[in-house]
Amino acid sequence: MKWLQLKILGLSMAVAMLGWAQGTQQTVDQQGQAPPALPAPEAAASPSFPLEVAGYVNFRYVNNDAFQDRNFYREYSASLFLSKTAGRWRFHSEFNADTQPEYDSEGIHLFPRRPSLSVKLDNAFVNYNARDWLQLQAGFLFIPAYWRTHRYQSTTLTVDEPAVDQNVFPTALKGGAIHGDKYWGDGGVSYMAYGGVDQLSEFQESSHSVQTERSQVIGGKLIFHVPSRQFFRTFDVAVHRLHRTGADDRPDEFYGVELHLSKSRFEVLGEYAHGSMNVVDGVRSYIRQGYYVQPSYRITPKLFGVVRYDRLDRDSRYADQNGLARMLAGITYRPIPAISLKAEVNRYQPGLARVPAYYGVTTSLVWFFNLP
Amino acid sequence: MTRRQYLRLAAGVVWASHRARGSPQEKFVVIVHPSNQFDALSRSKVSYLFLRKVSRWPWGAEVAALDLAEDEPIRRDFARQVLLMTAEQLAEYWIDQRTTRGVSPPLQVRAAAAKLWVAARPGGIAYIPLSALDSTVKVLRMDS
Repeated sequence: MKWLQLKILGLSMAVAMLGWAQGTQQTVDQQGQAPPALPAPEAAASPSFPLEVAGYVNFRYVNNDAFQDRNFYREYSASLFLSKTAGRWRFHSEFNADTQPEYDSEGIHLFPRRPSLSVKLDNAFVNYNARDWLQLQAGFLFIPAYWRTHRYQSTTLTVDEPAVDQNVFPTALKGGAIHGDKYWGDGGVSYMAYGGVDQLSEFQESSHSVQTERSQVIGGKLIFHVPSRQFFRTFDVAVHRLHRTGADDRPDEFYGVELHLSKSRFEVLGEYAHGSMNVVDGVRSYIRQGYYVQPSYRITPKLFGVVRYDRLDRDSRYADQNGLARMLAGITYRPIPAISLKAEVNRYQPGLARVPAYYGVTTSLVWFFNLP
Repeated sequence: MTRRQYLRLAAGVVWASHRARGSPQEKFVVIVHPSNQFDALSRSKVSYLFLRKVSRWPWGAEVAALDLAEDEPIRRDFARQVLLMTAEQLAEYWIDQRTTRGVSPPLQVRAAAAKLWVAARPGGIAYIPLSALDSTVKVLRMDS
């Protein structure tokens, strides 16, 4: 995979250079244009810097009865987003640094991972907009499950992600996608069809891990933006399907459904994901599945209350050992939209009460920034 | 002052404050380039243009939307009535768009600059106070 990683990095740099050249050209063009001398709105980047830069810095503190050798840990992480739009082309990338790599997501590591630090490319893609309903994407992409796509600490209301995230659907792929949006009235449809090579280097089975780095994945997602005559601000229902073929020629089949509902101060998020693993002649070896439901309420413009119930069954053959249910209650305070202070209490219930329920407290501070 | 005068004064203060609260706020209009083929669009379609969910007009011109500066009095009204969002929700929406898609919000300018911008660009769209409207731009009516 090294050659592919190098190609993606090379592509990122080439697009950045293209952006630099394009930015310079735009500045020249605008000087010869009639007033007002504002930059093109699609190119919000400063004329002196060719890329749009954004990012966030996150500090997380977890105190949890489950850790036997240390019952707390601190995590510092930061992401840097570099983007550039030039006409119908858009480039977007995310670089991430994290001091707790063992709890980290998969990515393309830029340096050898150390016990206390990982620096990696989390995604990088080029998007071509032929029409709003027909766009092409290529590069290092996220699998478009809701939480994976919108997982950033600067926008989520909870510190911890639901257990279903990264544990049923794969995380990311190197490949391409066709996607688009079409709206009618206050409703519409969004779709994405994708294919490529799974980025997940290993897949944790009940007692051992399976190497999946060369697995091929193909999938599709359909989102219905349900018209509601403005009763709901958002009423999205999505279905998602993915087929993965590993080196052992025993494919895995995944499907999922999602719900995103918001009205006034209320919001509800929900996902269900199901994986039939090692399917041979239509018979699966076991099932992996999980779901979460997360209602939230905006108490004041700056203060949110959130609760979540989520559950994951990692292996249906050993459900009593590999299941986990979690209840969460938390608050998020945003004095300004770019800063989030979060605190939450978790109750964990391992499958079939194999061990007693335990509790945890998690807090975080997030600062989002963008340039210019 | 007599008790009656105190009561009259108090009633006057209440009436004046009620008048101040109830005074009509400045109205806004959505403006486009005079060559724009649309005379009217639904509220939801206008919102898609400003939220960058739609990037091109049906005849191919790139949508060039402008937002007003945060201290412009009509900005909150526009966000609430057209985008169905509060100013905080709008800011959160753009943070989400920057992180997930690499899409930046429209530039924020003064109403006068927005009008000049739209008058100069066929794909331009913005909103300005009704009092700032003139013949250099075309009003885009919004159907509910």
